[in-house]
Amino acid sequence: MVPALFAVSLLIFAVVELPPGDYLSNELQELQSQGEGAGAARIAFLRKEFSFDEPFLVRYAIWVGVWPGANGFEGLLQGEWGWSFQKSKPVSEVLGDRIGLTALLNLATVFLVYLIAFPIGVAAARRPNGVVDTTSALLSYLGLAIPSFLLALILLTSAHAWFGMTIGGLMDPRFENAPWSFEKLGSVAAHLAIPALVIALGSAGIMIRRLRANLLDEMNKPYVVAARARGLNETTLTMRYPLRVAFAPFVADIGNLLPSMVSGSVIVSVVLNLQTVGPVLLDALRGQDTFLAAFILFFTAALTLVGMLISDLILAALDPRIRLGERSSA
Amino acid sequence: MPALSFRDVTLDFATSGGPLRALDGVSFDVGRGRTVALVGESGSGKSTLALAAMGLLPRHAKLGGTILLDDGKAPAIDLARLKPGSGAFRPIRGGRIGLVFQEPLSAFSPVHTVGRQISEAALAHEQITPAAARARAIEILRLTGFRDPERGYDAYPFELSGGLRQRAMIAVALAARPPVLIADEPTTALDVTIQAQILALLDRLKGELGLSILFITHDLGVVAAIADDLVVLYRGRVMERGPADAVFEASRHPYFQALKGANPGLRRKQDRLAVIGGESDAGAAARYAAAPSRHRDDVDAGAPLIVAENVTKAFGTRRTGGTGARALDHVSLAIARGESVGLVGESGSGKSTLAKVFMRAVVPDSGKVTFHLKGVPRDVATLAGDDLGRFRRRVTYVFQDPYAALNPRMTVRDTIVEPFAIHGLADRRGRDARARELIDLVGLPRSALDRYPPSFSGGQRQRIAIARALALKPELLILDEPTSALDVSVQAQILNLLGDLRRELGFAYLFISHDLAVVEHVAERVAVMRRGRIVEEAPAKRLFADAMHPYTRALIAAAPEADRKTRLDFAAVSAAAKSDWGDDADVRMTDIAPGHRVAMTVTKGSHAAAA
Repeated sequence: MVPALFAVSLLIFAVVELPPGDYLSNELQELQSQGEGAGAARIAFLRKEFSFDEPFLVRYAIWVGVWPGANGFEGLLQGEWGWSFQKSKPVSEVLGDRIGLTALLNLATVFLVYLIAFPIGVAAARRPNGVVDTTSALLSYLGLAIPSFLLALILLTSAHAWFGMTIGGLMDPRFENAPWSFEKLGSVAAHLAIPALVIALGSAGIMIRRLRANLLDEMNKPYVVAARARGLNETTLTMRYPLRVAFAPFVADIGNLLPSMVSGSVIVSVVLNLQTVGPVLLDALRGQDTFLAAFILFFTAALTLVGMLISDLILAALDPRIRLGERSSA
Repeated sequence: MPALSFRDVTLDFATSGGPLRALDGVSFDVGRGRTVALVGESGSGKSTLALAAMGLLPRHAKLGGTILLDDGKAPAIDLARLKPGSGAFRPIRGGRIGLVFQEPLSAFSPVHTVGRQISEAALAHEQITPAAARARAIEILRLTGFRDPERGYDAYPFELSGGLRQRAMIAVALAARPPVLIADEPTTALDVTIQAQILALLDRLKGELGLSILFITHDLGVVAAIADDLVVLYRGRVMERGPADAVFEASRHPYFQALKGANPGLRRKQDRLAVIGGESDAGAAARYAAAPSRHRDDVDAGAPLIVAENVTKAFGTRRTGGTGARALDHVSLAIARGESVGLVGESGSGKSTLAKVFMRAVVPDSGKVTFHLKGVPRDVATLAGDDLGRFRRRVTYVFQDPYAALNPRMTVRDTIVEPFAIHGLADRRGRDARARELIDLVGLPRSALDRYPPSFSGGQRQRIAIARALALKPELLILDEPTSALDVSVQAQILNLLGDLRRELGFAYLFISHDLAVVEHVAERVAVMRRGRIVEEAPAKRLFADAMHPYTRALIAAAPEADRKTRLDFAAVSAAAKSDWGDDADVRMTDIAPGHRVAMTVTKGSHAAAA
C-alpha cells in the first residue's frame, strides 16, 4: 500500500503540473498587464520560497518531504499539506472542516445507498416481474436518467416554495464559523439529509438493478436448489445463501465508491452550496493552485486505497475461499 | 406397500410454441427398503421426475397424475397436489425425502462449512438445539464414512476431495432422517474407484437405515451393481420396468437392448458398438483419403511418430514456486505411426497435461519430446518458424466439451475450414470443397455447413470438432475425453466413427479417458496413469486380461459392468482399494513381457511389484 501511495503521488504531481506555466507566473503576467510592479517582488520571493525554479523531481521530493525546501523538510511526510496561493492560506486551513464534512456526507450517502438498494433489490429478485420489481425498475431508471444536480435544484426550489425551508449548505449559516456544538451538529444532520439523498439516488438505482440481476443469477444455482431441497424456508434461504454470494461485487465496489463521491458530487455541491472538498478541487485545478489540487487528489487516492483495503478485508470475511485459498493450495 | 408411487404422472412445460410434454403417463413404485434405478439418457425426463417429487419444478411446469408418498413416518400424502411454492412442501423436502445431487461441489454453498449445511437440514425439520444438530451431523458424517467427522464438520466443501464431498452430500440428504432418498446421478462426476465406494456406501446405508432409494442414472453398469428394481425412461415414457434381474435377463424391449449394446463393456469382444440411429457414410472416408495430401510421408506404419522421454512438469502456486505437486513425474510414452494409444487415469492423474506436452501447449520442466517430421526426429521444444507450423498441422486436438470448444458465432463451415485459413492453405473454392468432404466424412448433412453450433446436439457438435481436427490430415489426433460429456448411445456413434476414420485415413491417435471400457474398445495399446506417473503400459488385450499393477487391478475391479452376473463386487472393490499403490516408493518401470511395462518398487537390489 505504501509503494502504491508513492506511485500515485508522483503521478498526481506530474498531472497537476502538466499544464504550461504555474500559478505564480500567471499572476505575474496579470500584474504586469495591470502595470503593477510592487507585486513582482513578492512573487519572486514566493518563487524562491516554494522552489518553483527547481527541476520537477526536486519539487516533487520537496512536496513529499524527502528533500529539504527553502525552510528545511516541509512535506506530506511531515504533515505539511502545502500552501494555497489562491486563498493565501495553508491548505490545511482551506480544507479544514471541509474534509470532515465531506467524509460525513459520503458516509451518509454510502449508508443511504445500501439502505435503499438492499431491501428493494432483494424484494425485486424474490418476485421477478412482481409489483416491487417493476416499480423499483421504473424508479431506478428515473433516478438514473435525472441528473442529480437537476434533482437538487428541484428539491431546493420546491422545499423553499412549499415549506419555506432553505436546504442549501451543510448547516445553518449562523454556525458556519462557530465552534462545534450540539446545536451545530443537529443543524448539520438536518442539512445532510437532502444532499445525501440526492447523491445516493442515482447510485441506489444502479445498485438495485445490479443486486437484482446478481441475485437472480444465483437463485437458480444448484447450491440454492439444494438448500431448498433440504427444507429451508425461502427467507432464511435467500438471506443465508445467494445474498452472501451476490453481495460480494458490492463489497468490492466500496473502494471505488469512496473517491467517486468526492469528485462525483461536485456539481451537486456547487448547486446546494455544500462545504465539501469537491468545489475547492475544481477551483484549484482551474487556477493551477498546485499544492491545493495535488493534495486533494492525493487525499482521494488515499481514500481509494483505504476503501480497497476495507473491501478486501470484508471479502475475506465473507468468502472462505479467499481466506483459505493459500492454505489449501499449499 | 410402496414408499413412493408414481401413477400416470404427466408433466407439461409451457413454451412459446405451445405445451411441451416432458413426462407422459409415468407409473412405477419405489418399494420400501428397495433400490429402484431410473435409467435414461439426457432429455428422457428422469431428473425432472425427481424435481417433481420434491416440488422443485420451475413455475411454468404443469404436473398431472399422482405421486403418493407413504413412508410410514407421517400420513400418506399426494405430492402432485401440493403447491410447490407453498410451505406445505417444506416438511417433505429433506424431512421425508432426501435428495443427493450429481455435482457435490456446486450443490454445496462454497462459503459455508459442510457441517453447518448438514446441521441446518436437521434444524429445519426438528425441534432440537444447535448443539444437538451438530452432534447429529457428526454422527451422520461418521456413518457416511468420514474417518475424522469432527474435522469434516468444520471443513469447507472445496477443501474436501470429490469422494468425501459426495459423502458429505449424502450426509446432508440424510440429516433429518428421511425414509426415502432420491439420488440424481450421484456418481457420474466421480472417478470409477470413488464411484464404487459411493455405491457401496449407499447400499450399506439402505440396509442400516432401511432407506427406500430412487437412483437416477444413465449408466447400466451402475444399475446392474445397485438396483433391486429397474425403470427405463425414454422421452418421458416408461419403456420397461420390473425386478433388475428379470429385466437384464429377459428384456424384450428394443430400447433397453440398444442401450445395452451401446455400452462398451469390459472384455466384450465386439468390433462395433450398437448404435441407436444415425451412422456415418463409410464411402466418404475413402474419398477423402484419396484426395491429394500435402504432407503424407511414405514411412512404414509402426515407425515411431512421437516420443516423450522422462517428462516432468510441476505446477506451483505463486507462493510455493515451482515445487508444487508434480503433474507429470518422469513419464515416458511413445506413439507409433498409425497406432491407437489409450491413456487411462482418474482426475488429476496428469493425463491431460501429458497430452498438452505432446502438442507443445505445455513446456515440460525436464525431459524431451521428439516428433518425427518427414522421417527426421526433431526435438519438439526447439521447433520454430515453418517447422513449428508443420508440426502444428500434424498434431491436432479434440476437446472434451463440444459445447465450449466451438465458437457459437461461427458457422460450421467457417469452423471446419479455419485450420486452412490459419495456415494459409487452399483458396476459397478449395476450402469450400474441403468443407463438404469433411462434413460427409463425419456423417453430417451438407446443409449443416451454414448453420451455427448452438443448433446441434452434443454428439453432432463433437462430429464437427472432429471434422475440424481432421481438416489438415494430421498424423496424430489427440482426443481428450471426447465422449465423456455424451450419452452412451451417442458415445457409441462417435467411437464407431473414430474407428472407421482411423482405418481409412491411417492417423495415429492418443485417446484419453477415465473410462476403461471405452479405452479397451478404441485402443491397441493402453497406458495407465496415476498421480503423474505411468504405472502400467501394455497391449490392450493383455492389460485387461492380465493386469499386474495393483492400481490397474483396482480400476478394473471398480468399473461397473452392465451385466447382473458380473456386476460390481463391493467387497472386491474395497479390498483392492486398500492395497498399497506404492505412492512414495522408489519405483522404476520394468519390462515384464514384450510391450508390457509395470512400475515396480526397487527394494535393495531386487524388484518387487509395487503391491
